[in-house]
Amino acid sequence: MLSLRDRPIKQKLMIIIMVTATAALLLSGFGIVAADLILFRGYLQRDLNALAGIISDNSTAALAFNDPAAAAETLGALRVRTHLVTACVLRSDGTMLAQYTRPGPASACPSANGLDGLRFTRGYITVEHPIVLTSRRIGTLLLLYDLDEISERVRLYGAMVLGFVLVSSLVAFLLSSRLSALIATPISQLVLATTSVSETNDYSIRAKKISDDELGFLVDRFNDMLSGIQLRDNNIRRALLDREEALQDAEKARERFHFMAESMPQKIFTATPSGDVDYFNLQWKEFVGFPLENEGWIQFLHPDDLDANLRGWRHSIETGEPFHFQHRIRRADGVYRWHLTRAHAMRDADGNLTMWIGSNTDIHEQKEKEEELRIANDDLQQFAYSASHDLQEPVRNVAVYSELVAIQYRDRLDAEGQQFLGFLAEGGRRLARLINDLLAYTRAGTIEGDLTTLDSSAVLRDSLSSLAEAIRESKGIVTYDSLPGVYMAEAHLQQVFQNLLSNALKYRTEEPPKIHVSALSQGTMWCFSVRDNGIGIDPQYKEKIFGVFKRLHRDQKYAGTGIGLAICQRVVERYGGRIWVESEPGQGATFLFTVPKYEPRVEAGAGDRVAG
Amino acid sequence: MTVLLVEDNLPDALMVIEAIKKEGLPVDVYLAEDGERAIAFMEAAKAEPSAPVPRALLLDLNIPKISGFEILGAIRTSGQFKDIPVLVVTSSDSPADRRAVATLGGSYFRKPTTYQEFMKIGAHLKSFLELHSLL
Repeated sequence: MLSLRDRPIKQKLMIIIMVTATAALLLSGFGIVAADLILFRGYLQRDLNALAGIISDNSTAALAFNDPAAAAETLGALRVRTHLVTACVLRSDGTMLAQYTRPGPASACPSANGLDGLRFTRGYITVEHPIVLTSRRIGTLLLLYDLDEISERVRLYGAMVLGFVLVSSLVAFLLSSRLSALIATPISQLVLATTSVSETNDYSIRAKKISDDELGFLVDRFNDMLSGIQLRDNNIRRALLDREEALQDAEKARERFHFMAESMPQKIFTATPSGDVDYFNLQWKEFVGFPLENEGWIQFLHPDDLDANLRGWRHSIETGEPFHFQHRIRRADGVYRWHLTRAHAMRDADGNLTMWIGSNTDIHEQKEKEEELRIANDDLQQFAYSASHDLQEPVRNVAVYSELVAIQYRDRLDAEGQQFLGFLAEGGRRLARLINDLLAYTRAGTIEGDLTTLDSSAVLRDSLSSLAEAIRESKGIVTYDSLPGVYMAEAHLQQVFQNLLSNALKYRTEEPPKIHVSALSQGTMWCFSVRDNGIGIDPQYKEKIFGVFKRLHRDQKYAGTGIGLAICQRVVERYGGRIWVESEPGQGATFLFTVPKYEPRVEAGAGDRVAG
Repeated sequence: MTVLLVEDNLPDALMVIEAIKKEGLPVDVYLAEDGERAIAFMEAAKAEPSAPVPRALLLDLNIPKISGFEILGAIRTSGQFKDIPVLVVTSSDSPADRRAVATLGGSYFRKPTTYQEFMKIGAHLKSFLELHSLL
């Protein structure tokens, strides 16, 4: 059984209301009964006194005349008072003159004790009243009155009070059960809400506000508190979710990276920012024959590449620059194979280096092919060079001696013989020039000797002096701006200048040629231009003229082998530049070419270094 | 004055001699047709008092047995002909060859492809000899 303390508030409220109401009713009931009894007793006293007075007065004569019958008759009038048990008229000597007894069981007269007035004894009131005649006491009237009337009253009142209490308790119960809801319902709502929240952890639950009193205020504050908690809870949830997602993403990224790394044909590795290799993929293991750890890779490098490799790697680690290196790695069977190793630094959002990711690509076949190609190219170059070199001698002999014959034996040859000899001499000369130009062309693709920064003005002056005769013959004027330094072989720049200038002189109109040479800066290159006022070039031939043996003019007016521009292009492209022409027929032509300003900068640690 | 012409190509050799003749230079031209003979000629000049002693060398680079460069290199390290003026007469136009010749203290004349040009070697040789105070 629950103690009152642990009962629900609703029951408590009901109990409180009922107990209070009942207690109040009982108290007031008892009060009323008590007051009534007191009043009734007073009334009874006065009534009995009055009755005693009347009976005494009426008994005076009977006593004076000692007439018991008359006295009995007087007393007989008391019949109407049912609660009067007995009444006695005593003579002054105390003997009884007459007695009245109520029907029913006989009752003795109470004894007189000489004291007039009312006397309460158990359940009875005894009234002793003097009977007086002319101020002389002649006897005493005794009345014995039972108090059943009072008991009846008490019972009646008690029953009434109890009845009221019962009815009012019922009413109180009904009312309290209704009214207690005013307080209990908001509280139980609050309790319900807190219970749901604590059981479900659902902070979106809100307590229902029923009243605008303190409880309503409490509900509002409670809900505010819940909102606050909900907000914080949501934030925490989101933060946790974000963290979870970030962790999952990181894990996924890691898995993806490892999957990728393992499925790549290349060898893959990662290293800490300080350069300690902390991961080698499967291909490394397969290549070297067993799983690698930490510094294990170093022993597989070719001894000749080792120093440069470690130096470059240290440089990258110190500077964060990418690592590019070609070197040999020993396979499980002891064979060294060429690899291209690249490593790049990964950085976080703040730019801090977090790790190195590197790959080692087997370029052995490529390297071998390159070497084969280089050798083949060198051989070809050498062949072309030797061929044209060795061809020079017999061709020269043909050209020179046919000329000699034409001079010394002119008189002994008829006209036809002289013409044929002319063909022979011209053929020999053309052949000699072609071979000469072919030699120049093969040389244009290679750099012989060291490269330096050239004073291009000086090179141009040299070219002009070797073209002095042609300039003089054509009455040409060549002007030039102050020209910059360029990074290329002197012979190459000279070839370009000479070819362009001699073209400009050759393809002239009736006007004496006017040629201007200038240079403009274009980033790391200088853009040279050779402008003339010659016959110009039809735009449709702008590309064609740079091909080997591409001549636009077949007639003798413009002698040449058609290889000059091809040589220029080969030279310029050898230096990473380009050459092109801007021209309209009859408007002259401007040949432009770009050549480097400086020695190409070798990126420290980043360039493809070929070791060994 | 004796000049040794080292040249394996007879037509070229005759052209050089023709040019010298045309220029009217007072020189006796001896012809060595390969490297060995050129070396032998100079060894003989050292050993035999009666043998002609060359005062200048006209040297083709591309010759059999011992190349022109080898001859030039050998001369520059040997005692007697260490400082002999050498005019390289070659068909090569290679800048590398030009540089190599210059390094070994030789002058350079490229064989031309026309008769007229070829005859210019006479004037060239004249000024070359004058430069070395041989004329």
